[in-house]
Amino acid sequence: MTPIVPQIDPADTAWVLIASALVLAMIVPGLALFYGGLVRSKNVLGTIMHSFVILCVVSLLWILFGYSLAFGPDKWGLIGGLEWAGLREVGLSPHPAYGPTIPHQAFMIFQMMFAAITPALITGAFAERMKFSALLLFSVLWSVVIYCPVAHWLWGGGWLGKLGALDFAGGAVVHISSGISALVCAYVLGKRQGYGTEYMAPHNLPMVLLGTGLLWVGWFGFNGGSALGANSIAVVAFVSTHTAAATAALAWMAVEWVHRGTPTVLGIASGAVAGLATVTPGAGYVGPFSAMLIGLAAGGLSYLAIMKKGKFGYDDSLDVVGIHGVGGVFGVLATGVLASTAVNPGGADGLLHGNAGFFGVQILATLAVTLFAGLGTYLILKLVNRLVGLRITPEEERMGLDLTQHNERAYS
Amino acid sequence: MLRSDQTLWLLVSTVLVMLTLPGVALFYGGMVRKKNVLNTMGMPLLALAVVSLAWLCFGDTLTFGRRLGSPAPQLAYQTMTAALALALVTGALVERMKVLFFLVFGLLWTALVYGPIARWLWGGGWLANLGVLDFAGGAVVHVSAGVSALVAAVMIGPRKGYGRVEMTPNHLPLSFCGAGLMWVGWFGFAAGAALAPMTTVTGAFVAIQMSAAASALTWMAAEWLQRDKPTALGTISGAVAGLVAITPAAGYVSPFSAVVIGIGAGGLCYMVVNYVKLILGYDDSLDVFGMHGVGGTWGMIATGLFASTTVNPEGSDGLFYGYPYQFFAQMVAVVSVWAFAGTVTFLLVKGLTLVLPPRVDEEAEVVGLDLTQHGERGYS
Repeated sequence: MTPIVPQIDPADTAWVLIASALVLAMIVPGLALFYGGLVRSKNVLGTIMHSFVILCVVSLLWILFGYSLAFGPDKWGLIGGLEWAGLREVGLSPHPAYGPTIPHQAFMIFQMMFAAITPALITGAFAERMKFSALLLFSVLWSVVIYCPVAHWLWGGGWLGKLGALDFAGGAVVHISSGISALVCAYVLGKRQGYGTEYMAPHNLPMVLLGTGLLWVGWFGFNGGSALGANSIAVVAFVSTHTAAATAALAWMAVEWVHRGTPTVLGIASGAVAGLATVTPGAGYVGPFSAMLIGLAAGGLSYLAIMKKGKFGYDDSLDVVGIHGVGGVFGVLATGVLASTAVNPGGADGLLHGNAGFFGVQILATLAVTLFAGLGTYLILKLVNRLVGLRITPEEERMGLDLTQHNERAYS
Repeated sequence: MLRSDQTLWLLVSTVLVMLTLPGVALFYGGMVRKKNVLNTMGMPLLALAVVSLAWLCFGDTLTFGRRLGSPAPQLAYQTMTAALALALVTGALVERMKVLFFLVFGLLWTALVYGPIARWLWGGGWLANLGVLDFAGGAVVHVSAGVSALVAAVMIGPRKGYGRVEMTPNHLPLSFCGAGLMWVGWFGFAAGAALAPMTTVTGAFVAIQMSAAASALTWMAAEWLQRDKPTALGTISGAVAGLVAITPAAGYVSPFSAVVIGIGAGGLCYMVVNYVKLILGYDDSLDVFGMHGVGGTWGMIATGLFASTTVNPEGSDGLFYGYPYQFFAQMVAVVSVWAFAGTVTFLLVKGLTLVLPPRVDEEAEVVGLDLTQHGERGYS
């Protein structure tokens, strides 16, 4: 193989920067509105603040040392070193491994947006009941202890990447890690007051739909940008992302229609997000018809998971586990089955194309990230609870996060 | 001739900067009272429409000396920047200003205030010749809009009941959505006023992100320490202040300088909005001066401190990198833009008031501008 001589391509750089802006639009305003509309009106500002403040805090952490821990020089396959802390050696000339045609800082800021959205996704699991100070502490610790290592394992030259595990845009790094951590959060924090007895209807579904729309638009940056250039792989990712989202929205709708008699608009939106999450790890490795299969399964499986969550008795308030956890796990495994070198020569062949070994590696990646994120999140929550306490008081919960945590009302 | 990738980035930047206009409309719309939400949101969109025509007919020629109707590639981009400046001014005057007055004022303001200042800094004018740096509009857009907003707000007078009646925002999630769109759209300013190479754009992009994040956290922390609770409105205002302050500096400073600029912006704007405004008693309804005037001024000065040729060889070194001249040049720009924008806006409002009533009558103000000026309601 001839070594690639790093040289900046302005079109590739432009695409990665556009993609970064699109991923930002997924967090702020997208995800914040998606979650904000799903809660009761007394908690909407508190919920929006979760995503917003995580974006700000993670941005700072990322240039201080987060980027170095995730992508810096490899240490034992487990984590990056601190050699790049404070963006030392992360300048405007390209890095040969991280996008040889774009400035290193363009890759850094694209990855910053990923690091920011992942903990923001978790916040849906403990919505309407977490202390603001606990949220801040938790998201800082979680980013450093869980996100940075997992990103390193798959993308920063760590052990899973070396074994050949593929995660195109974050099925394991973003969705499994946040989904599994959300499950642990829901268990450790416990249910909201009145969960299961009171009706906790979303206070503003049009806001949720606006958020869904922005997530869908932004996801083109999330998956398409992961090609790190304006090239044919970006096009593959674009098409599969869109196909999976459309299929999953329809699949969810159909299942709900049959199961409950009416298709809900919230269901269609949730289906789209489930499809987007599920296709993420495979986006650049599978063709459009594989993406359709992935979307079909995503809509059905996530619907099933959310229907059955009552049986397990955890209060994952905004269904992070059902959508991102289930979607992430299924997506990483489906990549192991459906990936094809005919679509992306830089990828791998999956089980369907006769490569059982690759499927095994994807299973291993799923298990490793699940265990690590689950266990790590549990310990972080225990620590945060010891330091500042996780939950607001029952009285504060009745009044709502907006008044008790932020001293303001959303509407007047 | 531009290369295709240059044209691509210019078009994308134009669209992103335009996205800040609905962003401003939502940001402002959520903060006013329910009875004025449509009028408030309509103003930035009107500004976009009016300035777009004005820029085509005379603004571009006055500022850049290009032949009228010449297909300059930056025309649309510059139009959006000019429209944003006028859209920002509206925030100081909402809940009481007449639409017709705003239209005429806006047209003249673009010609007499914005155009000349843009020429001074970007069109090869005297400040550009002094070597003043204004990457994407700290002085041209934000100082000029902020100072003009303050002058106009003082002259038109406070809203009825200001300081006595509680004026709570009608829909903060709307404001949040607007702030989020502004943040996303602000990346369009990474292109700078000219066509910067993609390495400079990347550096500017990172600087914008870091300043907004640092400023939001600073405002939040200040509120938390002083008032016991961090508010969502404060935090998003902090982000906007950070975006404003980095605008003149973005292409010239390192990511960590951007963090420092953001911290300064959050702190300074927090103080002006929460203390100085109350002491002086002016009614700048949505804090245009407090965020854009103050943030823009700080950003211009900070550019003179933190600019570095190791970041951008086409820029300059600031005071902290051993070139005090740059700092003084920036100060000259700030002082002259303050004086010019303030004086001309004063004369403009004074003169216009002779022929057009600037305010709706008292009864209309009580009923609300949506119903009395537009014959519609925001919500039902």
